[in-house]
Amino acid sequence: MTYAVILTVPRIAALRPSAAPAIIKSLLTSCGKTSKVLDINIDYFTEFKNQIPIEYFTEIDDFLFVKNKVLGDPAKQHFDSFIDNWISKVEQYKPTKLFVSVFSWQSQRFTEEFLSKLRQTLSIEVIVGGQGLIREENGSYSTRPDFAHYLKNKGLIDHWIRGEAETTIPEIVKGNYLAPGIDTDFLAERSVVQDHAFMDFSDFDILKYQSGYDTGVLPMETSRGCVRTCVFCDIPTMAGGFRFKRGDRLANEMIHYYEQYGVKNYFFHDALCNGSIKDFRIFNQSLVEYYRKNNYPDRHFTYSSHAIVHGRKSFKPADFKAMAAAGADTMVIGVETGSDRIRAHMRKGYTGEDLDYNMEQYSKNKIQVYFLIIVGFPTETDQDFQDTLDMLTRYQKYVADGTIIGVNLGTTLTIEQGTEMYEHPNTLKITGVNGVRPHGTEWMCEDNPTLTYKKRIMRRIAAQEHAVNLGYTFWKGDDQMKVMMDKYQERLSKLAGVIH
Amino acid sequence: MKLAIDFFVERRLGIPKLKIIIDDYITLYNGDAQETFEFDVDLPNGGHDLKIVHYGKEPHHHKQDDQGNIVIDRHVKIQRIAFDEVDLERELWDGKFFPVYMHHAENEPYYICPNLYLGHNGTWKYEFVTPVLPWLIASRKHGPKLDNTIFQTNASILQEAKNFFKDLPDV
Repeated sequence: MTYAVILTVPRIAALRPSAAPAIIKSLLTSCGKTSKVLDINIDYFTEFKNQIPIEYFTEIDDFLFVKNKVLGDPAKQHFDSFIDNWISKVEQYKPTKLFVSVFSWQSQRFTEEFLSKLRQTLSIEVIVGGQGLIREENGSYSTRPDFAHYLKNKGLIDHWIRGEAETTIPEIVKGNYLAPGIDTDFLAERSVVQDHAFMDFSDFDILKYQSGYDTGVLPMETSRGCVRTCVFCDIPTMAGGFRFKRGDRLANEMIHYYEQYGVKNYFFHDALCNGSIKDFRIFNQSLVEYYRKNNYPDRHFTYSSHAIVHGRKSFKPADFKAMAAAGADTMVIGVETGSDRIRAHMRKGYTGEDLDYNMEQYSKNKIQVYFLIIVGFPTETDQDFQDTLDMLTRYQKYVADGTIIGVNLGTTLTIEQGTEMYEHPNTLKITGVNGVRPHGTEWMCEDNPTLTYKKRIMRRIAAQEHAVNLGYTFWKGDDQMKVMMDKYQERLSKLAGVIH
Repeated sequence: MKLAIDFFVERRLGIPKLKIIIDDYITLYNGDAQETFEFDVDLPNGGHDLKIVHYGKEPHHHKQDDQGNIVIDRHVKIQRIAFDEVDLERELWDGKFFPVYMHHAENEPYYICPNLYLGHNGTWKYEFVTPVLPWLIASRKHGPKLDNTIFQTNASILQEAKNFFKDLPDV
């Protein structure tokens, strides 16, 4: 008998193992409990996808993230069969507890469908956790974990974990369900990141993931929280103050995974890897020293990560060079806009000149970059939007030289709980629609009254067309278009309901 | 279009002579070889030829040792070519060098490729397309392949969205 089964459920890109199950497994082991991680998501994207006609898979896949999608009978039969098969697999381990990692809102529908069927056949304590416990579309914070309440009210779960596993899992093992973060709307106590144990990936078939790297990719974490306070971001509220692992400690963790699993490629899944410049330098130096000591070449490991843009005074050309030698592969950057005016409104903490400097250095040091851009910020004028298009044109040379490997434009700006824009909408003269507090896409800006939701969508479409024409590799365009069409259709239907 | 060319120049036996020409009628440079050239040239969209002509070399412009090995050879070597600030990478090796042999040539190649060393008199020719950046992007195909993944972006879905939103009321 196994104490716990830990599930990763669709819908997450099947590029690498997820961190949360590996953290939970490690925590359970340190509490003396056995566990087994099962990744339904990788099976969904690699086996199930190829076992059924593609049109049914597409239908099922849309069903998982397009809110108003309904499954036809043939697709539903395939989907039910897939779930039944996985319930049988869980049952084989005879666990006393089932932990389900709900990675994001895109995992909610599968979670609900899976647990609905599981409850009919298995008597087992079900505990869910993850950022998918809230209903915010693009956020990680909410004052209330609505999805968890929803599951609890339907009798599909016994408990939820709100926030960090490090301070809650040991309490659950002790039988203490009264600890902060367990079945509460407020968050769990925050842990000391520096003291985190190494993750346990022993249950994962690492090479099965579609990482594109020969030795696979593992997730790692450098920090929690963020050093910046962008007005649209909820990370400071969700994750608290910036807490990070010391540079040498981080390098040692990477070396441990290499020695344990043979993996040479890593993705830091936290908000930024270069929040502490000093420790980021130590991290890069520690890796290079390890390579020298073991006669490995530069870039023996590779790492990819979100990163913030620093100015040339604080982050020197030598720092970029050190990153390259240590193995910096792809940096995901919140570029957001081509307008310095909007960037200042966003409180991004850097200018277009800083970005130009970073791009030049990334190109020079053969470090790839992935752009995150937000279309339709409340104060974005036609000229600001044009500045964004012009920036994409100006940076086309970095697409040609292989520096920019992708751009993601999102689904237009949403205002999420826990953000500065949500808490203090008056700062940018943002108002809600029909007297309701500004939230999600339901907002307008007094200083920019022509920026309707439809206009934001039309800009978003124009930006995608522009980027594609310039040759940018465009990420998640199909998903995002489907979500916007579905959301707008819902808006129209609601309106029709009111009128009629 | 911005064009930058860097050479290594062996000038111990005199300075090599170069012509840099586009499409046979735009002469960008003609004279003594230099390490670096930068040009800004207007070209119509379409296919073009960049030609680097090495000329003026004579038999005494290389020096041999007692065994007949060449120890100094007046030449230029193409180190770098950049179009619109983007360096050619493997594409450089696609350039063909058409030598004019000073000796009687039997079984000598009509052109040498890959080759960046312009030792013989002759013409190094590279074909390119303007606008250059889209051409390089299309030919290099950098980045991950996203088709049939959760990340994919298809023109058909974009078009569907454009059609969907086109006539909808602004609500």
